[in-house]
Amino acid sequence: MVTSKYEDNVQVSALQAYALLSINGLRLLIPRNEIRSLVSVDDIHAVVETEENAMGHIVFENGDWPVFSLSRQLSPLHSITDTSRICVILHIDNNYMGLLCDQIQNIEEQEVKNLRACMRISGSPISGLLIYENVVACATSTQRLNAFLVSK
Amino acid sequence: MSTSSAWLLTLGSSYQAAVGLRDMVHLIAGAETFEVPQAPFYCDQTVLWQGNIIPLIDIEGWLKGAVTDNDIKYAAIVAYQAQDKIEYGALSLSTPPQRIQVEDSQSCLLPEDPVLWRKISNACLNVQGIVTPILDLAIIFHTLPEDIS
Repeated sequence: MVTSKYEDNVQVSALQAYALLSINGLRLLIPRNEIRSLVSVDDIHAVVETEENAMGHIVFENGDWPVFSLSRQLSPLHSITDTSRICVILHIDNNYMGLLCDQIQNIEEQEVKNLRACMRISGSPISGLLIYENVVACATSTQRLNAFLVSK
Repeated sequence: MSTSSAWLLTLGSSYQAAVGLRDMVHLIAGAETFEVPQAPFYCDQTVLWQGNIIPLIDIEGWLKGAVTDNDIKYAAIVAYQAQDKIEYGALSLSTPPQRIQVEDSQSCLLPEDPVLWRKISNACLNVQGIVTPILDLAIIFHTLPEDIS
């Protein structure tokens, strides 16, 4: 018989403002203060020699940064989907990464509930869930998302 | 001989289990579900209930180790004790639960196969000749998957 560790898994995170990204039907929440800019998908250069799992790269603030296109399950895709319209430039440490999405909207400060223990897989970029406009949105951070994409 | 009441749960087409009468608090027919990416394949859906996001577990898929093609016909909302408070989870069922009376004499050994039964159940009953584990809801919902597998 397994002994439950009784993870304290129902805590809520501190109030935080998020951007809600629609990605192939997935609603993904990213802290608003991690977003540096929004650019058109027309500005993306097709992959030449860039980071593994990236579908392209983009020039931003004198640098060349990987751009990721993701499926609804957050698996990296190697092309821009028909519904992708926007590339969100995310800030991580002293670097940037681009993430394609269909739509983006700002939402006010929210308390996101931590992911329950039974749904947690080591390395998952999803840290919590939120009900927004009667739909479940999944919270992540640039740090978590980057670590997940690098490990894939 | 003591008797008590329980809910008999039909978990897809292959398995059945039971929970205590007070463990099941609500039943949702045709529940709308919301997918959570990068979650275990048997627990990558949630349902909304009373303003809360409730994880939905497909026990049959978990036992088989593979995604089932079962429609989620019913979601049984179950309660369990987590630390010092009550939490809720949901179980995917193929038919509505059936209330049964059970006696001590129906107690039997947990099945050896699939081995997962012994990790997620805390007792077992013989219900009309069918071995029927009693689910340990706190273990199922309140333990990291890597600590169970």
